[in-house]
Amino acid sequence: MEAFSLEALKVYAELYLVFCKIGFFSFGGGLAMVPLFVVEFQKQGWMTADQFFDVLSLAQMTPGAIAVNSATFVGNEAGMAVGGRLGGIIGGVFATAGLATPSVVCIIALSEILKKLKTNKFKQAFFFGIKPVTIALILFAGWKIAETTFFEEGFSEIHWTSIILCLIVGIVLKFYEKKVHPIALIAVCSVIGIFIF
Amino acid sequence: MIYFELFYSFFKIGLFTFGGGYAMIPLLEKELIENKKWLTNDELLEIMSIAQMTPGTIAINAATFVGYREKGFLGGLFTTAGVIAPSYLVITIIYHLFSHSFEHPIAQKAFMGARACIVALIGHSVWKMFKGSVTDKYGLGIFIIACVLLFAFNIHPILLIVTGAVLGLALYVFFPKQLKDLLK
Repeated sequence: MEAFSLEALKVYAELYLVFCKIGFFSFGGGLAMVPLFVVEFQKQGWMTADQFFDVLSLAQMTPGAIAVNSATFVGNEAGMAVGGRLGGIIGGVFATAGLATPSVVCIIALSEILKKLKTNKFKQAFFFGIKPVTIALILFAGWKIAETTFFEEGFSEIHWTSIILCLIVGIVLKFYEKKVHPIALIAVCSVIGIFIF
Repeated sequence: MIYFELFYSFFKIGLFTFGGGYAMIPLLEKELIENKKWLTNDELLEIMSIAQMTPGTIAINAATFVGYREKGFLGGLFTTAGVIAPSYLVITIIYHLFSHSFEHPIAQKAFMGARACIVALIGHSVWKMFKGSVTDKYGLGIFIIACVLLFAFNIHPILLIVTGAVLGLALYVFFPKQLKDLLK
């Protein structure tokens, strides 16, 4: 079977290693990984920058982390080139596992360190300084999504329907927070979106 | 079975996260804090802080951290697999079966609706985190500095995190008395 040929196995190993590297050198996740992705793919001949930008827009529209989605897609593409459909499916597994490996290793190491420092005052001061920054970063991420949802590029046009839908969800959250599940809200809003946009 | 529960919780979270790691925060709050009671609000904020300053995607980092804390190495593997699985399945299916249907106008419209909802969800989470964790003038000061650097000067997130860490440590070194009651 071509999916288990020597050439295909080599590509799977490469996928794992390249995505390990990408995972290890990208901080902050998501779009911060884009430059790394592009450089590595061109080096490997898996994809051009233009092709990758198409992947990226698909990755942003589908559920899950953008980096994971892109890794799965590229793994499928590179695997399929050497091993057919089955090769693609296997390639996706190796790329995605490669991306996750550095996270798992680093987080477990860090968890152990933090456990030891539990009552350390410097660790607490460190987090005292970082927590407000994290909230600011989440606010910023929310604003970035809002910017592309509520406005056309360069604020040339305002999408009032989106803003009103967002405000309604905000009101629902304010009064019925405990009763509604965010997943239900997202699902309902997707259906509403089909009818109002 | 706790491992299955960990996997399933994160599978659900992964399936309904649109637009990157931060968009999963409202889901983490509901699932991990309210439903499962695995975490407190403050712990979630600590996990998000850790997740964004370690290599890798925020979503995977947060999943590994929670799983490892709950059930050790295996727990970490199950949560990580859970948060990745929906991405892998959806993308693989799209790749092999209908590579262009996501450009379909109906999918685009549904996605617009979901995004408007996510903006409200993230806003709500930010407000809850802010109320719960920024309770004094020092924290508020750091938050305002961070917002100005981020929104007005577009500073790189990693640089901003380093700034926050330095400010926190400096406060502790130079004003230990004022900060003593705030650290717990």
